[in-house]
Amino acid sequence: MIRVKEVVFGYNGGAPVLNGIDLRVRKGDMIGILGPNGSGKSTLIGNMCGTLHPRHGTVLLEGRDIRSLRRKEIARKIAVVPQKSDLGFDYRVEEIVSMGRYPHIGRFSFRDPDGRKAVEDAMEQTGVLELREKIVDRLSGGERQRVMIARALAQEPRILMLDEPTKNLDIRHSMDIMDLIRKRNEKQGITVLSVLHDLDLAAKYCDEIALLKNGKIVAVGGVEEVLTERSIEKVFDIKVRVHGGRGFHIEVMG
Amino acid sequence: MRTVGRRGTFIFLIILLLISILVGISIGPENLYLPHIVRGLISGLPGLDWAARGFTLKGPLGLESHFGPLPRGYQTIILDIRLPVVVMALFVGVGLSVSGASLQGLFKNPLVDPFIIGISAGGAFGYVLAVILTEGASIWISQFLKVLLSFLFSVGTVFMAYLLSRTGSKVPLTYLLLAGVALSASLTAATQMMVYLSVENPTPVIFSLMGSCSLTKWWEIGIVAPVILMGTLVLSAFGRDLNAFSAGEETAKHLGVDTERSKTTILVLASLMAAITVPFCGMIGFVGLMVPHIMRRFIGSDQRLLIPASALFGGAFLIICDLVARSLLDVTIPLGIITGLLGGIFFIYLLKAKRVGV
Amino acid sequence: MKKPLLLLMAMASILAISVLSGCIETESETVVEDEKIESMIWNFTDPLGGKVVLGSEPERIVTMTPALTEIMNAVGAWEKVVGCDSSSDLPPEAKELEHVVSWQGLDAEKLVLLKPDLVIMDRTLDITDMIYTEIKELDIPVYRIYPKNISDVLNAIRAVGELTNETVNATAVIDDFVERMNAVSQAANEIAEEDIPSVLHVTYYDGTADPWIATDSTFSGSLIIIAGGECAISDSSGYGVQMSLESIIESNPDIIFCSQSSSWPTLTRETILGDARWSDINAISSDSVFDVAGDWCDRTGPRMILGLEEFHGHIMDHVEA
Repeated sequence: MIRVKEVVFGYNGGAPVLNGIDLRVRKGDMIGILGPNGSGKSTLIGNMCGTLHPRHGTVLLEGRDIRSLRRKEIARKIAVVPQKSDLGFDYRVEEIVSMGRYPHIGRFSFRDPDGRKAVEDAMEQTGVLELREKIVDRLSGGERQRVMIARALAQEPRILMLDEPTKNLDIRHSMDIMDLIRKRNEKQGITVLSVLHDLDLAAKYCDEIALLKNGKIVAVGGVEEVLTERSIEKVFDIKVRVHGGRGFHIEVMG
Repeated sequence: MRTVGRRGTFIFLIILLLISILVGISIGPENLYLPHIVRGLISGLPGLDWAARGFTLKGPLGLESHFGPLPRGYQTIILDIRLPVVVMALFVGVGLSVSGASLQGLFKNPLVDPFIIGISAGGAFGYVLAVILTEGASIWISQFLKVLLSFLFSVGTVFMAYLLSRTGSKVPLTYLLLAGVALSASLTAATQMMVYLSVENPTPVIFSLMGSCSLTKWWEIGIVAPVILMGTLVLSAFGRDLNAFSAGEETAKHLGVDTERSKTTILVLASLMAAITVPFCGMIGFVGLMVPHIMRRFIGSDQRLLIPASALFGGAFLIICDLVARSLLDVTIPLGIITGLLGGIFFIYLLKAKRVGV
Repeated sequence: MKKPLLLLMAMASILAISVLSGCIETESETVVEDEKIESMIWNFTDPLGGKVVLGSEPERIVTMTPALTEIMNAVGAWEKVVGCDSSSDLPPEAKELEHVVSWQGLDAEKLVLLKPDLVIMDRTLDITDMIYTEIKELDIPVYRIYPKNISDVLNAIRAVGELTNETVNATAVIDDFVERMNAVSQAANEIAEEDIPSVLHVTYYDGTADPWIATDSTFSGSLIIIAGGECAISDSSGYGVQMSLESIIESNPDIIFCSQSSSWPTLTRETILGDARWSDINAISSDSVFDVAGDWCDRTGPRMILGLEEFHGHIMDHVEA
């Protein structure tokens, strides 16, 4: 679905943040992107959804250079849940979720019958139906994140990109969010690409992990294949013990 | 207000607008009554001039009612003085409010006013420049140049702010806002200097700049109305884009908005709508700030509804402000003073209100 | 310091002039040889009660309004004027003089450099006494007038005559003014009550904002009344006011004067005749819209008589038509 080829990227002529990234995302994958702060995770998402343009290399979306696609075309395929979602005004939940219909409606059409259903489904799937009349800025962090995911789902995307969807959430809400995402991945076959900071959570929910450091992919592949004691020490500079098998988890050593 | 519903709000706004039009025509140095107003208005339609003269209505069953001619001057007062003022106030109110609502959405900032990005400062500069250039010239030349220069400088200032804030192929909105504020400050100072040094008698100039819809002529409405109607229609169609911008430029892109193109279109239309009012009505501040704000409380932030609602309420609001301006005291108070006064108080209220999201 | 009673009485009698009766008393100068009293003669009290101590005849005088400049010229003391305000234009040489004051304020430095013996100013243009205080602090003698009616204007002419030792000329100017005014007033009295036209004096109008009107409380208003008309718009402000066009249509004046003054440009009768909104007014249908010289009726100087006669001429034409 997405091919990232030798991508080099830097902001405004500064030092490169991405140093030659190669990545292949297949349909139905659920990929976690892990790496220390400043390793270029968010920047990689930006390049892959076409809001940032690489200095060198290309990003192909379903075989076409993403730079040749109009924003609306991209938005019909890729939905992004950004890390920050500041709103200028008091919007109600339903209004925010309806924004996801933007790429599907012509400028001068005022009705969107398919859209109504997509919006209702998205709110149902994310469990925010009862919140529809609430002001988004007055919701809890977990509820708010669900609304943002609902907006992304209302876009009816093939690929869902999330930038730290569990940031600032407690473990209960983090798991709710990840369950929700996983369910969409399994039921609708939406390809998921998510930046995560919690290794355990990534290991629990993702099929594949890409480990990033200094703008380079250190390792990519299945969870047990990538999250080894050696690679984690190399990337995060901490000593850990990995307990494999069904109860996969990572224990941080003193 | 939620219980009334959005449909109810719109019906209320339309009724409010109609009432304010009628009241606007009715109240003045001489208060006019509805039958006179209706006859005056009818007499303005082609071929219906008899409505102003005396006539007899014959009904069924031999019922007859006789109407004497309208009192002297009423026809002129209704058709050529009050109606144009009310219609102009209506369009200017619509223009400034829609422009304000759009710019607030675009800049994701509820404290933006169409005049903050330099439109009024540019307009005032052009106006005073025209006054100086046409000193001693005939009134028509001076009028024409005032309209032309204040419009050109209004639009020119926004364009200049746009160029100044452009980095590469992008125009970050925060830079644009700052450039507008900076240009406004410089132009205002330059205008004051021109008035101070070069204008022989500054009183009428200063009064004109204070903003007023009084003595509007129909041809002026002919210029202002099409721009504002077109702008309102097109910006209404950009409601979804503006919603997306309210979630931030980055999110707007994710949602599929061609941000640079939408931004340019919205900016150009919103500026034109505000700039076209400056040559004819001077600087009528704060309307573009207040009206969208009040409407947001009633119908929420969804720009698809906010723009038409702001248009309706803005029209009614400015008609009422103009009415207050011309009937509060014996002399007509400049409209800009009324809106500025209300706006200033409103601004303080906003600052003090807990729900302000800056 | 107490003024000698003699001087006080002299001043009082100068001020006690009845205009409406049409006779101006002239005070014959008492020739005093005593030098001490001679120097006393050059001390004055202005109409606002300000004491003006000169000591000797002033030779370098600065005038602060166009009207005062005109009065200086009219009483034949023009050569004593060393500076004036920026709007003074009669005599034309006034434009070449140093301008010490404009609407932007006083140029105190310029004023000091002119080394004036006396400044004559009009409080009307300095209602807050700011400029007055400023000049007083420079230790320059200031004589202030504050005319409210035509009688005050004539007194001002007389006072300038006293200050410049040109009383004979001043008296001649006043006598001429009074004589011509009496003639106008007499003719005006002949107008039958029902024929008295209602007159509107527009001082500024450009079609984009409500017109500025000289009401009955202005000088122009009193001229209209003496000339045999009545003012269409009344108020007590004493200034020109902006009046809504609607009120003007309702007041329905029989005659409209449009004044071109050097400081209020771009108004001519064509502006009003070409504006359809005025068309219901009597003055328009009877073609009684006239251009008048603004400077003649709003400058409180000797040319006011010209303004009066101009008004009177138009009013009489209207009455006889």
